[in-house]
Amino acid sequence: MQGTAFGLTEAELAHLGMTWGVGGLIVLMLFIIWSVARESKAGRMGSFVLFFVLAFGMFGFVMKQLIQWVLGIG
Amino acid sequence: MFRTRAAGQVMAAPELPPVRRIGIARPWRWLALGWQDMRAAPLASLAHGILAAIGGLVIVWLGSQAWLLLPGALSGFVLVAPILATGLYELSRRRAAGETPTIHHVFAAWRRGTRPLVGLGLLLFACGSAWVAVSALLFKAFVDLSMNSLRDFMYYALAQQGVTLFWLWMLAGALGAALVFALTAVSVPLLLDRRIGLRPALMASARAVGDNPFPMVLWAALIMLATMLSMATLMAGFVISVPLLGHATWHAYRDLLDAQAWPARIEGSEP
Repeated sequence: MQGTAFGLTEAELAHLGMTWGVGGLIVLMLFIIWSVARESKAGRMGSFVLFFVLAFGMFGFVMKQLIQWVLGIG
Repeated sequence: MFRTRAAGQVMAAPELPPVRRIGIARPWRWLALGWQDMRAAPLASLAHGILAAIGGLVIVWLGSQAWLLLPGALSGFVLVAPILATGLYELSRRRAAGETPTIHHVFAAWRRGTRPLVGLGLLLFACGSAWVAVSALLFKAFVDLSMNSLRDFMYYALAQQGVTLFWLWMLAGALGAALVFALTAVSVPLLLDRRIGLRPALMASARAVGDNPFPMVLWAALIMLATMLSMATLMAGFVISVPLLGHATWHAYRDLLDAQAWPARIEGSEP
């Protein structure tokens, strides 16, 4: 096929790269958090991160809806 | 490791300030104490809030007029914020020591107490810039169209791309925010209060957060809520929320960390 690499179009390749890129970022963040927890000898950093992420996710969801409503998009 | 306390007197200091365990509802008490601090020095307190609100409005204005400057403005904000916050901590500290807090204490704190905070500010600036750069890169890789305005960008960022990708990006941001929160929750008041290095201060804060996960999640959620409400009121809410949260953070530091083994940073002000 023309215009493909490894059988994927440019858009599909970009999307794949993005998803793996974000995945890599998440793994990096988790590693840094683990490293800080170890050095500071923090007891239950995992519990903190889990519930913080949940709260942040809810916050992000509300902000997304708010921004979309204010700007009249989506 | 030993630190000299006074001539001839040597104390063994622990690696990090010991962390206290607190109950889950403790953040509410921090807010109550913070409110009392605000009432004790209303003008000096609210001045911080007004500065923050003006900063917020400048950022909004940049968003509408010169939106490409927005990432730089936001990163610049986090560079300066820890230093400005010390004014609020100093007011709380003086009131706790039985003095009458005044604006002069604020200026003294900004002048004398803030050298390590420059290092922290630069660290936050670097992290903020890195985050914005990575996000922009990801966005550019996926949406190969010219963005003419903030509205265009928001449209593609929020409404067009796949839901999975947006929430993965949100997860990465949430993890970054968790890390920054843990490192800075009580480290800035500690750095103002005591002569301690930046790295031990950050680790002490992380341990305080990690050892008290549920109260600190509540505290983080309260901060998120206050921020959301402040932004929803076109930044006006920051006039109240910034001083309130700033003073409350001082009390959070006092509750969570026992830094008596470290010498005071501002001479003649040991408790």
